[in-house]
Amino acid sequence: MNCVVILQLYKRFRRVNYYTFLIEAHDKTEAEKFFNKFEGMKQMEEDLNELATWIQVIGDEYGAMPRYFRFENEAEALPPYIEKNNLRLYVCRLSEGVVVLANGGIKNGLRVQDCEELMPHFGFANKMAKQLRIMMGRGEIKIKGKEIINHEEIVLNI
Amino acid sequence: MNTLEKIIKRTPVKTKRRVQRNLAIAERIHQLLQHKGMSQKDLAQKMGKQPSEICKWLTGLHNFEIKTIENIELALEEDIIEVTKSVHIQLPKPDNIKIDEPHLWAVAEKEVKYITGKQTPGKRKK
Repeated sequence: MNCVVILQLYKRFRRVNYYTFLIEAHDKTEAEKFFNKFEGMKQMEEDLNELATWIQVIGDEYGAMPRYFRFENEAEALPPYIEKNNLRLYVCRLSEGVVVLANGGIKNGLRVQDCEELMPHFGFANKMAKQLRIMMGRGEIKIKGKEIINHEEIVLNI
Repeated sequence: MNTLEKIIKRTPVKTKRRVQRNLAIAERIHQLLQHKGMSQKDLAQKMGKQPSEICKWLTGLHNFEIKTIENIELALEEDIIEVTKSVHIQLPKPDNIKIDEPHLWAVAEKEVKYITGKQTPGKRKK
């Protein structure tokens, strides 16, 4: 499928800028879809609060260090290892200051392949991460501190 | 305001404190390892743990038990957390305490001002 994806700034913190993907013709960004999906779900509230706080504290105080992410092929996921949190938010960590949030869901199986809800988001994040890294390698994407300086012009394909 | 911002805003203080503390402990362990030129594997060996266990601790989302912190402190020969020793005591305001005889509070207040140096001894009524 040839569909255009645009990068958008989602939330700015002192040390990290979180960007997200907006798929052409969709009214919500991928990050917004993820947080919207679980906001208001009582059984997921604690996991969601923990994840949101963690994103904030890393963003404000420590930076997006690799040890804070779970590696998922080309992409990464949040939260990093934790016994009781089954939420998975797929992301593309581009530097200590730039993270692009994708979508995700609940991991209710041993492998991502066993989770119907997660698999499309895992696939999307990996496709995006691969393209972003290739573009970074070619110099088509430039990162300065915590900014993607030409993100308005970046177009990715699904 | 986007949904992430809304969630952050309504998250209870206790969750925020827990995440902040756990991340601060993880960062302290990471810094000590770097400072001592030790790897996660070295720490795991010293503590008789699997390296994957140390890896989990350094993610900042592990809920540490005091005894685990004590064991890490022993292995690294450094303090990881410090407990505040001094206690700041604030005197209650007159409205918040019951004193049957109001003049007693005035006397107590003058004594406190004298002790803390806010009133010169010469002006002190005897």
